Amino acid sequence: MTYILKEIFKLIKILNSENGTNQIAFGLTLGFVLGFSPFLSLQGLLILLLILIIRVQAGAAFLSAFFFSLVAYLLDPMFHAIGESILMMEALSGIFTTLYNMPLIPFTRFNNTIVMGGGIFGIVLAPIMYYVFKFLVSKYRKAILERFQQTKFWKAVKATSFYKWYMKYDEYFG
Amino acid sequence: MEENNDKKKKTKKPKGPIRTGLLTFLVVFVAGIFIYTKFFLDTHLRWGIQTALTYANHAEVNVRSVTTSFTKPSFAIKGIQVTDFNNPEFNSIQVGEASYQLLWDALLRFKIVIDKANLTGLGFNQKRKSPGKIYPEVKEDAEESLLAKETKKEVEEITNDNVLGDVAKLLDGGPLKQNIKDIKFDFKSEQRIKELEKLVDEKKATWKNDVKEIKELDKLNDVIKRAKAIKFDKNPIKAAKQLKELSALKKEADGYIKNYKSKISGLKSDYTSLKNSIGEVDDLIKEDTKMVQEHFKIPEINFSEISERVFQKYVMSMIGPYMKYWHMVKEYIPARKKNYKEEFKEEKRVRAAGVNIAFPITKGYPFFWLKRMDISSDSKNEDNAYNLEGFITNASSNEKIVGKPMVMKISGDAPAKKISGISFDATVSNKSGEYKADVLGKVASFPVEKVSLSKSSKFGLALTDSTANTTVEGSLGIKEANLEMRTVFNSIKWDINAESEKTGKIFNEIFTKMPEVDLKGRIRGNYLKPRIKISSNFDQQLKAGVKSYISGKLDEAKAKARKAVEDRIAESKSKLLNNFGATEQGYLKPLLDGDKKLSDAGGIFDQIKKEQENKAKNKVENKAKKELKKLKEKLKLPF
Repeated sequence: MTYILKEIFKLIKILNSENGTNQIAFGLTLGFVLGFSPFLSLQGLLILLLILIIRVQAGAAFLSAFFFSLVAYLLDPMFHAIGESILMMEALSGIFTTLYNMPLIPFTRFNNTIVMGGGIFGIVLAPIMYYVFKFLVSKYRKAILERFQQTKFWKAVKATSFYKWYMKYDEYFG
Repeated sequence: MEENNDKKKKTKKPKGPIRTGLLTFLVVFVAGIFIYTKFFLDTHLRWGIQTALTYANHAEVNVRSVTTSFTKPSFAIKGIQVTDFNNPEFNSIQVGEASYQLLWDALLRFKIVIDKANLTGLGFNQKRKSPGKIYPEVKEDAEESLLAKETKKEVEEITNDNVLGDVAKLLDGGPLKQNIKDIKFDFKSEQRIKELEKLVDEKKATWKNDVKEIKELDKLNDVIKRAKAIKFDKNPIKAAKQLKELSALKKEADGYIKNYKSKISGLKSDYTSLKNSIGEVDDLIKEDTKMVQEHFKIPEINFSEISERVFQKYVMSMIGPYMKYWHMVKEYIPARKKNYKEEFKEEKRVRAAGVNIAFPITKGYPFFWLKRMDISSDSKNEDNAYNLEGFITNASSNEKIVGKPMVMKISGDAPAKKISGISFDATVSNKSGEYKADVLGKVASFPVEKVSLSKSSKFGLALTDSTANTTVEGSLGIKEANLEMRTVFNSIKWDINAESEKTGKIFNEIFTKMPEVDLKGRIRGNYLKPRIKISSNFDQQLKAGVKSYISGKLDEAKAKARKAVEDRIAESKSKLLNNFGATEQGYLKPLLDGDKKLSDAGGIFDQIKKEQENKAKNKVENKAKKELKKLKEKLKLPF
């Protein structure tokens, strides 16, 4: 929990800096895929491991996973329809039967319509979502952050000795 | 200052795409697990197995070593010695080595499939190098305590004086050496007769008035008399009035009848209850007789039950311990599944369930499957006395996936212990939905050092230095057992210890003619409280032997006891019966007569009413006929 909170604070910091756009976008994308798959499944654990090992913004990934897992509830009927049509495809039944009888693979629960639908939906849309998130981050920085930094309130905050102390602290220990 | 900061910023290396810190942590973590499994896991497992088995057995269990391997998933346990709780100098079971080869393919599906297993150096009742520790302070569960209590009870039964002791007493001259009349008893029957005499007198006084009333039926007779006195008038209006009067009288009479009948019913019930109470005196006489028998220790000897009482402990010692272990093992047997499909049921998920599409299973395993375990034991090994060979196949948690039941076969001998022809066949199946084991065990010959059959201060009998053969056959279900056992003891030497020289001599004579005992036992029902039925030729042989000595002595003693009771109460009982007998004529008969009279009385009113109706009907008919005749004459009709 401490790790997740720390990562979320980092996200706020990076989001408000000029760097790390790709890291945030990639993190959000992985969270997007994780949100659409059951957490306690093989693929869920693999994505989690990927988030921890690859230098993506983990806070962004966790927030995104939380948000998209809520969205997934609303999209379950659609996932069910997608999953059912894929799992019932005659041409793929041989592959699915082989996977079903392989060790470990059944722990992905790929034979469930919602898991299959959500998984395919997440993977197919992931590259598109990466660019969407990247665009949104840069838009945020230009449209919201720059304007906020021009406000009198922010200027007043920047003038306080606490802010200056914090910036110094962040430079050495942050 | 700013330049320095810039330099710092410039010298900071750009970070790569992988979090090396975390990766290092993972590598260290995996290495740690590897080192633990390589150097410590086996020692900790050995300690864990040893502790768990000791806890379950309540006596020391030793494990020499445990070896595990992850490359070829396998583990081997060497030198298992299970101390016998009741005899800590011996091991109840010992195993030289138990090794298991598992399948990775199954482990990756979270299933345990043992491809090959070996159990070598299997031995029973072997002496330990040093006595094992026992842990009686370990708290037993309720069922275990029950088992322990049952065993203790049986031990007490055998050590105490049993039916053979009673036979010995009869042979020694029998009870009732003391005169029965010398003893003052308080008989329940005598006390009850006194109470009943008083009660009969009280009842007679209460019944007297009621019976008189019922005998006379004054009020009812008066109403009937009034009803009979009514003369119906020709005038229909007056006749209708009289009919109404008759109905009112009938109603009044019905009230009286009801009242009388209720009295009769109450009296009859009182009479019956008193009669039953008097009948109970006979039961009290039996109780008093039993009390006298107990006082003079007159035994109830049922020869057909002697084997059951004498050999019960032996049969339980043969089968009981194994039933206890089965009772323990069955706790871990998977519970019955309602149907096969349940195993593949959909899992509950937090999110919307979706639908699980089931694809054909081309390679599936049950949760647990021991494909084959070879069992062997060699008496050439100095630690072991048994030569055993056998196998267990297809022990699984789901017989339907495996397609075969579990089969166990063991055969062998133990020359050093003079045991030969050991064979044990068992088939465990859950085809019917519930686990059931069919077992057949045989031992062609084994020595019997001593079986104590009766042990008391005055008489002891034991079967010693014989050989026996035994067969146990039957089935063990989840809840109940159904086993039949037959043991034949040959070349028996009897150990007889009798206080009385006379008794010892007689028993010696009887038992020297009994070199063989054929014992049959049947155990059915719940494991903790089985029904045990035992029979043997011991009964008949003993009965035939002692018949000439004790014939008549027992019956004579019992008759004396009964006579002692009857003599005491004879006079008062006769008086009571006479007094009560008189009530039958004086009270019961009038009641029955009164009941009949009341039944008839109800009909009298109907009869009067019917007579009146018939009269009126005839009158109308006659009048109609006359009018018709007149009309015919007027019209001059030819017919």
